[in-house]
Amino acid sequence: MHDSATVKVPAGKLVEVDVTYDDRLTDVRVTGDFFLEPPERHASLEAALEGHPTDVSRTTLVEAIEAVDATLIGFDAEHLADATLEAIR
Amino acid sequence: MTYRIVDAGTYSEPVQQALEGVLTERLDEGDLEPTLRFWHRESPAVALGRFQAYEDEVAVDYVDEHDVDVVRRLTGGGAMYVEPGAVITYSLYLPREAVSDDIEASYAELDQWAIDALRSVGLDVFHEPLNDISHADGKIGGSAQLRKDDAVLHHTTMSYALDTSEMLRVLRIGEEKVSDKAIESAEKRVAVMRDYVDANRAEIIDAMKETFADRFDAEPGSLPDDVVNDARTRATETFATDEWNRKL
Repeated sequence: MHDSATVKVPAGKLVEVDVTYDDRLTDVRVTGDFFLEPPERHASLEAALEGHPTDVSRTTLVEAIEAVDATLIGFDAEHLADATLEAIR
Repeated sequence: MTYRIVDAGTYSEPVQQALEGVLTERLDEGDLEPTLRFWHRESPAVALGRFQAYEDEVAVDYVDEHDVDVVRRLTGGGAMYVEPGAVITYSLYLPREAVSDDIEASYAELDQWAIDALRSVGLDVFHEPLNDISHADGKIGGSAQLRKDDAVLHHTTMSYALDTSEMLRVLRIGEEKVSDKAIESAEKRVAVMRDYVDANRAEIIDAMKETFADRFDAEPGSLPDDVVNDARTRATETFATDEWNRKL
């Protein structure tokens, strides 16, 4: 299955998450008008969201995002986790 | 610290975006003086934010038919539609120690001289976090940054006399079918300087240079030929390719 969800951060940026999944999240794409430093970590951020079962908790996703050595600018790990969960639920 | 002010050279959008990488790296390696550069463009273009999805932002058929160059930037942020002579774009290439580590504060600080310059010609503009320059009627421009080990790139595009109807045909924010949430973020009205001031574009750029030179130690400069040659190579290899521009 493939679904997407978009989160508009209040006074911040827009984050769209596209998820391909069956019982697990197999492919995740994160796009939007946000900033990320260093930008080369974008692929790591997407990878951090992949492989989880579809009943993954918000806490687990937030921890996986925060484990990526990158600064999220205009959004935070919670926004990205929420958009990911909204896409698959 | 003495800045160079570069206000010369007209380049295609792929070369412009390639220059941003080359100049930031040169500064990072200690091979470039801190520099303020004003851009001169060749043709209408879209500068896409690094993490934006091409097909979400651009009216694909329209830009193909009208030869609008769509080039993904090295910096994040949102898509900007640009036309030669109708926007003012400037870049700052700075040593990292000259820039606040607090990213939100650094946007405000690095736009302040430009805001003061615009105010000096009678434009009532202000910084709007995170990265916008706004007028009471709408957004005049936006900034984006990239940080290397010892260098920071801060570039800003502002609308002088942009054809906003054309902008709505080129960017998908003009389409009804784009989701409400996307419109909400992008639809912030664009305000154009020419509606508020008598100064023409060249006079505004002159005022900016004056304000910058008053505030910082600055002298005129130019881009070394090898920088431009590197950028042309990188444009061909990356910034003019679908592989880069349409990768998301």
